[in-house]
Amino acid sequence: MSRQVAFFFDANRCTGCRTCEVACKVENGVELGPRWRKVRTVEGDGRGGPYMYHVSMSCNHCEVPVCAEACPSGAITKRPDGIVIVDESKCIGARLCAWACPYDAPQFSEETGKMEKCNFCSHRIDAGTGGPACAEACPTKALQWGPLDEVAAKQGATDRFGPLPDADITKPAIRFIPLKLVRA
Amino acid sequence: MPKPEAADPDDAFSASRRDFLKWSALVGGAAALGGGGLLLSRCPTGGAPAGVSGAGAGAAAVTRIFRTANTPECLHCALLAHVEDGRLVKVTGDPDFNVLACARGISRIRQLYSPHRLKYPMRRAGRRGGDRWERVTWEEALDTIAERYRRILEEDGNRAFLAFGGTGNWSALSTGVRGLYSAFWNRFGGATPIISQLCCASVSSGFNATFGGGRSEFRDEWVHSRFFLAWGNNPAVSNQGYMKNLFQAREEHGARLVTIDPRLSETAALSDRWIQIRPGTDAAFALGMIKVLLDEGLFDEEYVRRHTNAPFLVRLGERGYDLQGASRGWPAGGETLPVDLRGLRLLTGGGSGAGSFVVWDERGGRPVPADTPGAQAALRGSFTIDGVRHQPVFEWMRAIAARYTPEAVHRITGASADAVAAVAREYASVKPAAIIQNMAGAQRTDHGTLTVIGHLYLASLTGNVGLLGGGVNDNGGYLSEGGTINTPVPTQRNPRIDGIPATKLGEYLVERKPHPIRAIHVAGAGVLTQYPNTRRIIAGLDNIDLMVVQDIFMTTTARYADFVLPVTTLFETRNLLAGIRSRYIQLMEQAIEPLFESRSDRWIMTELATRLGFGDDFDKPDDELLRHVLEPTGVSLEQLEEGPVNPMPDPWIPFADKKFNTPSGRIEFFSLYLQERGFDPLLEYLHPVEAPWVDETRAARYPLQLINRKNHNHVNSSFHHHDFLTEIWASQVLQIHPEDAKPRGIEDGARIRVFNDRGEIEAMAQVTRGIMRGVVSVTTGWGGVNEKQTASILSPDKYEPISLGHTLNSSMVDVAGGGAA
Repeated sequence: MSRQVAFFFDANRCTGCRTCEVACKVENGVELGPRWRKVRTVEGDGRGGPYMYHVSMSCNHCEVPVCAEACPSGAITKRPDGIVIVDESKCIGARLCAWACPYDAPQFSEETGKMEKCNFCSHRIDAGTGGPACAEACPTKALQWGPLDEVAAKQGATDRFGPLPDADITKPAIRFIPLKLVRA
Repeated sequence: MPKPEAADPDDAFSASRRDFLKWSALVGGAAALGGGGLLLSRCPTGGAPAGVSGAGAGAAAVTRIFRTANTPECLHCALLAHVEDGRLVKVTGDPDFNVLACARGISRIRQLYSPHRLKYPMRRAGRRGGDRWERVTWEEALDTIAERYRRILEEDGNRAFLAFGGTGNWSALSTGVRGLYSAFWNRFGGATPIISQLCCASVSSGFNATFGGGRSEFRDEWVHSRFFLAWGNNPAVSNQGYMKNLFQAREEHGARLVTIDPRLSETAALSDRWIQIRPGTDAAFALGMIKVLLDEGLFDEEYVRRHTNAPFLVRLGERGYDLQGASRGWPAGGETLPVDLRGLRLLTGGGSGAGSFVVWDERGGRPVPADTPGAQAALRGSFTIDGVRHQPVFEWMRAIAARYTPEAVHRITGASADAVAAVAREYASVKPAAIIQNMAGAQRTDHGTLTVIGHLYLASLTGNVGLLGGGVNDNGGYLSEGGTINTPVPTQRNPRIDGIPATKLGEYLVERKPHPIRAIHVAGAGVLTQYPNTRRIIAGLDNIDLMVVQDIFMTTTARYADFVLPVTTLFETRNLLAGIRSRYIQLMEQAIEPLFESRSDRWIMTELATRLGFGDDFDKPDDELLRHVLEPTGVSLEQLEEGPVNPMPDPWIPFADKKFNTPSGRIEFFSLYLQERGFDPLLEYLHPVEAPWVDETRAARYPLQLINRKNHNHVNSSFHHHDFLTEIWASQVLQIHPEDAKPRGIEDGARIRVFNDRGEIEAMAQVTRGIMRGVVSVTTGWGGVNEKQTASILSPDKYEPISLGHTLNSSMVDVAGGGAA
């Protein structure tokens, strides 16, 4: 079995520019509406004063893909390399995957009436032409990708980050370096 | 008779993918690539197709990649245009370039194929700004414009014209610096000039005053910096591509980042320390830091002695002046000094350069020319020469700065009293230290030049100027750092014409000053989203006979035109980028044929020049013009076909030779440039004019200080029509502190009005502690999306007295709930 692929996100390097979001849409021809990747801005008020950081996230290609379990038509599968894909020909638009996913990853397309989401740019992986367009477009290397074991071994990498749901629920294939300077 | 067509700018973002696909298919059939003159610069690995990409990519499609570059006033990122069967399918950043393109660059595919592009020339069919248009042919548009220009020229001469070439496309054959558009107006015989500019006039005047000119850009060298002070600007947004260098310095060398900003900006959020000060009080904070450096000896004494005019002797009046004694009674910072600094005189001798100024030699105990070998120039003390008391410039700096105690700085700026010393010590404790000011918002204030001079003082005192990775960092590029290009066509000398100060456009148009303007020509400029007090400008357009706008979209500015001419995007023409925002020179290849009836700026100006009788120099093959442009650079077109070229030394160290183009050849803390122009020669803080603690009458009606911010989604007025960006950044957002929001009944996410006596705009409220109490922030411009949200409507049209620059961040407003009436 191939190694599980994963994303890596360093909040100390993210300026919130959303290049990853737009690179995803341009690469995959995603229409207006669905957003396979989203950068969310977290703001708060700690003891040391206000703070702010960004989180760039798409489908996390979880080791436990609860979306696939929830899908009534078997449209969602996990590949040997861990990429979780939607087969649009099987999707009936029931949206149960969106209910199941704690990361808001599956997106409903009003155009097609189907669910769609990040496919880790599997066409690029399969063709050997590169990795996910979002990570390759990141101007500051805040967002990267690689095999999960390598990503998880990066110094300071954690699967616990800010307001995200408990990683034990789905075992997301993403690791974070949280903002070190949160004035909390 | 063609039917008038209504163009609704508010409808510009309703496009769905179905529209996009429909439209793409149409274009694909009509615009097969011509092939002639187009170069395949790079194939994907092994020549294989780049994979499924973009809408409607075919299985067997072969991808050809063309080089181009993002041309607005940003980072000039190198772009790769992926083309299949004559259609652009994808835009990516060039991974080999020094910065990687951002969302704005790669979303340009949506600009190209936007169904809302201007498609053919149009003539106004109703009242000005009434959105009624009729389609005309290019022939008719150009013939009419040329004929009317010729008539106005005969009747009122060149001064009846006003030409705007904006920052939308800074390439050589368009509206770039020394570009073809400006050459057209030169060969036209001139037009009424705009005096100064909205962008960074106060940076220029600050550098002129202290360094004798020049600019200083070292973003690639941030990797060498050991400390960063981001002052009144937000490099995480305005230099996001270069932030990787800053992050590298932090990760590898522990370089610290401190940000001074009223807002928790994207940069402040990533900073080790964030200091909030009131807008417009930066020079007071700088003087507070200078006091700490001087009091605690945290400056480079040898550097200051050798490379600055700090040891030059000064006197006041004929009888001299005992500074030490008198300064004890001076009032605390921000209050008027009991002495007129303009009356100070540098003692001069007979030599030239530094040698024409006099210092006190501590070894010989006598005055000598400043460049005397072996002399030890005194920085401190009081010396009697011919019965008159003199003190070195350094003593005056110290006396002025002494009034900026932590308490005085706190009172003026609002920063905590212990912030100043902490930042000053941190800044002075490590070299090289970079002050990032990047044409900061902080210099677009009522005394912005003083802000800049404050930065230059600090960098000079600590010996950071001319040091790799140190100094005061600006946005810059090849042309601003000493390089040069030819204009595409030869230019001529024209008679001088009185100008219009940039900030005074509305007033001058309304009052027909300094003379009536009859024709306005705009290319790639958001005149009605950037120039301040915009309602006044719109009123002034009633006095105009003819306004021509060439652009890609029906912008706010275009809506007020008599003729709108559709312009190509950067994928549809061949061009060259060598400017003032990147060190690199880049070829912009034509990737696809122009869509609709769009034409390049270069084609339009050539056609007009031909009709006006001076077209011969313009009507030449593109490459002949481009080779002429490149001539002084030593870079060839063939080189550029292989990729962008950086013709500058690498690494680049501004002022490395410590030679300054000042009268003394040194850094001039005592600025003769300022003195000659009637300003204080030494840095002293002055309060803003439009600020609540200064103008209490105004504060009663408009108590909040307004500052303008930049976002990741736009550059000036560019990119506001990219739907992938407006999907993320949907509207104008006003940031307001909870303590200011609460008494106004404003909740987070509410629709609100922002207003002052200049006008009113709509915005969505973001209630956040990430902005200083008493200060609100809007996105600058917000151009072309919705006139009701355009921030320039609120901006003041006064100017900074030294630079004549823009003061949009010395502005006062109030905010109320509910949308505009």
